[in-house]
Order: sequence, then C-alpha cells, then structure tokens
Amino acid sequence: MSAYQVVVIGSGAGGLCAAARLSNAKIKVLVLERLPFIGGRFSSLEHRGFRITTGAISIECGAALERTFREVGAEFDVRRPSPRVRYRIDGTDYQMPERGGLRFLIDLAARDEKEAGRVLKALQAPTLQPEESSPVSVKDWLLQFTDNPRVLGLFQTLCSGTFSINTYETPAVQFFKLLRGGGFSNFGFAPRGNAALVESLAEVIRGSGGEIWAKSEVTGILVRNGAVRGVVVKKDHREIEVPAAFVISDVGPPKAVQLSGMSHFDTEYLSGVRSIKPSYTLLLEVFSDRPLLDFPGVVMTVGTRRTAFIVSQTISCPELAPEGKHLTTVLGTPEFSGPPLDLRREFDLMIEDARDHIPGLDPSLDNMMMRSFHGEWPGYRARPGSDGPQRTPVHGLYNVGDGAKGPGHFGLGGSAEAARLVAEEIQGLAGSRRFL
Amino acid sequence: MAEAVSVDAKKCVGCGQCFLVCDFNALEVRYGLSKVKRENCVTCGVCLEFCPLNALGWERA
Repeated sequence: MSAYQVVVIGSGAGGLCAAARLSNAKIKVLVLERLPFIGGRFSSLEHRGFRITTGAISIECGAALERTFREVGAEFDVRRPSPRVRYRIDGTDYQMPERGGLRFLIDLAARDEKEAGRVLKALQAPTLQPEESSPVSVKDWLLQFTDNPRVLGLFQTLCSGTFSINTYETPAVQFFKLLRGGGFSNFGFAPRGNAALVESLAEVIRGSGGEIWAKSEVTGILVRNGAVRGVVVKKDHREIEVPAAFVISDVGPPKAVQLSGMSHFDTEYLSGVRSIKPSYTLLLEVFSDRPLLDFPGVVMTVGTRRTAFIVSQTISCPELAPEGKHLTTVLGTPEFSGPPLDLRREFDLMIEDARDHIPGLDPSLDNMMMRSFHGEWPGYRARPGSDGPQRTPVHGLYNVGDGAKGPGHFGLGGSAEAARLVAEEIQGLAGSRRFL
Repeated sequence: MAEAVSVDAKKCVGCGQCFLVCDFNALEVRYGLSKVKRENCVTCGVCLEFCPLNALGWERA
C-alpha cells in the first residue's frame, strides 16, 4: 500500500468534491466508504430498470456544485427541464417568469396590492430585516407584516422545498441569504441517475492515482499531539491503520468527534457541534405506467398539509425508468425536524396531499414507496444556520458535507463549497510542507 | 437452521436503500419503515450490506 496525503471518510457529495479537487491538484487521496456503493445520499440505485435517488432530487446548476465539476474536469450530466417551475396556488398553476419571481408569487398569493406591497417592501428594506444574530424564524418575521394564510403558505413551500424545514424552524436570516444568492431556481435532473455524477467525480480521483475503497468502515481517527495522523479502517474483517497528514470527514461533525475521541476537542468546539440540528425529509415515490403530471419541471404546491413539491422526473429524463414507465416524487417536511416523529400521521397527510394534487393516483398505494430521512440519516445533517465548521481544533482534521456546509450556501452547493474551502486550505499546507 | 432477514424498527428510518437493491421484491417501505416480505426473501443478504444504519439483521425463521 502506497502512502496517501489525504484520507477522506465518507464518499458523499462533500467527500467526493474535496477528493476530486485535491486529486486534480495532484495530491494523493484515499476515500473510504463503509457501504458497498459510493455517493451516500448524493447517489442513485437501480431498481427494476428505474434509477432512483438515494437522497438528492434537484441538482443545482450554474453554482458551486457545477463549478466543482467544471474545475476538476468531471462530466456534469444534468438536464434542465423546460419549463422548470410552476407554483400551484388554490388549484391553479402559475408559470414562474424568468425574472422577478418572488414579486410575482407574492402578488399571486396576497391577492391584494397593498398587502403584497407591504410584504415586498419588508423583504427589500434592510432596516426591516433581522440582524445576523437574530433567532427570529421566517414565520415570526412574516407575521409582523401579514397574516394572510396564502402568503404564509407560499413561504412554507419555499422553506420546505429548499431547506427541508418549516417556516417556524427556519431562521429568517438564512432565508434572506437564500434570496440574496438568487434563490434556487436553476436546477435539473441527472438523466443517467445521480450515480453517474458520482462516478464522474470518482473517475477524476482514480485518474490521478487516488483510490476509493467501498465496504471500508473507519473505526477511528488517529490523533497525536493535537494533530491528525491517519485513520483505522475495517476492511475484509481486518482493522488496518492508514497514515495520512490530513483527514477530511464527510460523516458529520459529531461522528468525527466520536471517531477521534472527545478529549482532542475544546469545549467551545464541542458545544458548536452539539448545536447542529438536522432537517427531516419525507418522500413518496410513485411508480406508474403513465406520467402523473403534465409538466416536466417541479410543481411547487402552496397551502398543502405537508408537501412542498411534486415532480415527474421521467418526463424530462425518460432514461430514469424502463420504457413506458414513470416515476413521480412527492417531497414534504414533517411537522418538526425532531422527535417525536409520528410517521404514520405524517405520511397519511402526505398521501392526502398527493391525492389532492395527482389526479388518478392509485388508491391502493401498492406502487408507492414511503421514504423518510431523519435521525441518523436525515434530509440534511444541518439545517441552515446550524452547520458545524470545516476546521477543527485538531490540526489536519476537517469537516465537509451537509453537516458543515460552506457559508451562504445550501443543499449540495453547500457541500461543494465546504469541499472547495477545505481542499484549497490543504493544497496550501501540503504545498508548503513539500510533503513526500 | 433457517434464517430470515429482520428489520430493527428502532434503527430503520425508511430511506429505502434495502428496497432499491432487492431483486426479489422481498421488501417494502411503508410509512417510513422497511418491512420484509418473507415469502419472497431468498436470504441473499444484499439488503443488509446496503443499509446505512445497520437496521437489518438475521433472525431465526
């Protein structure tokens, strides 16, 4: 076994983006994945001719994730549906305009010029926006200006569809960051499945002499004198030590602490890690012999019980299903991203939404998966504003992934951005050390 | 001794990875929880490997 400068624990979007960037910079990387496939919740698995996501649905285009692919020379095979987004308010569908989308939506939802003007003014006036340290939620902030249920419902759909949490769980400060970043409207689907995107990054890593080991579980991070020294990995029923100057954890900041041993971290860092709060996601995946929507993009549903959007990805990407078959995904957020979680009730409400919005839905529910992402395998490891830091008190140990997203970024883009920050720091340090 | 796959409901979140990799229609994901359809299960054990939370295991049939 040859030496690796960097070991990456976990092959999710963050881990692979970091590894691909480092590989592209000629730094030798080993990626360790405990499951038999790579990509984590950023991948897809084949099921009876369908290519079905392991988590990520819409892939943001033209932002941090796509930039990573471009910069490392990986193919970014993402197809943007056209048109992309519709909003469904009180049973009527409205196509989003190319520009001025939020104004358009607030006008539609408020149905009252004065009220829409008041909400828009509040959104635009810096003096009415919460301060960076303010814990006020989107809902409480909005209630200062309107109690119109359709406007509140619109923001609920935006928060749930983007962050996978409710307006009363989303810090208003984070919502404004999303707005300043231009929202989340430029996206597509991977026609060969997310696994093809994952494989593109893996090719960059392997092509530069890096390695990816599946079925290899890290059981410890080695730390000595405040610096990381490598990892212990269980592979083929044996535990082996892999030395490395840098270790990047893509398994969430709490797990990195657990693997290293708590004594290596100061109380301030540990308290930050303890304050990370996940977001939970509910998915109904419906298999059918015909498209269940008449729209190739995402239908954002306003005023539902739990659902944020519905999408039939197979309309724009028929490659995702066997010929003549279709897949429709309904995404929702439970009442709270935390215990107690009454999944029976939550899914009953999701199904009621689906019946309202998908004409002719098979009432037997036989062709449906009711998937949830919560607890140790959540929608996002950290909801906006609760992310852990990329740097740790242990020299050479870093966090990436959706528990340590880069500042001002959300979703997959947040994982890609954190990976860029970490990879650039390691490149600088590795270069100055003239390692190996 | 015959063995069957069982789901630990305390660990399973219902992410569906086991269902997706099963070629024998021996799993279903209902209300955020995986269930084994014993009549279809050939005890190949692939689902155990793909579970991210070690929620699947063997038990005496």
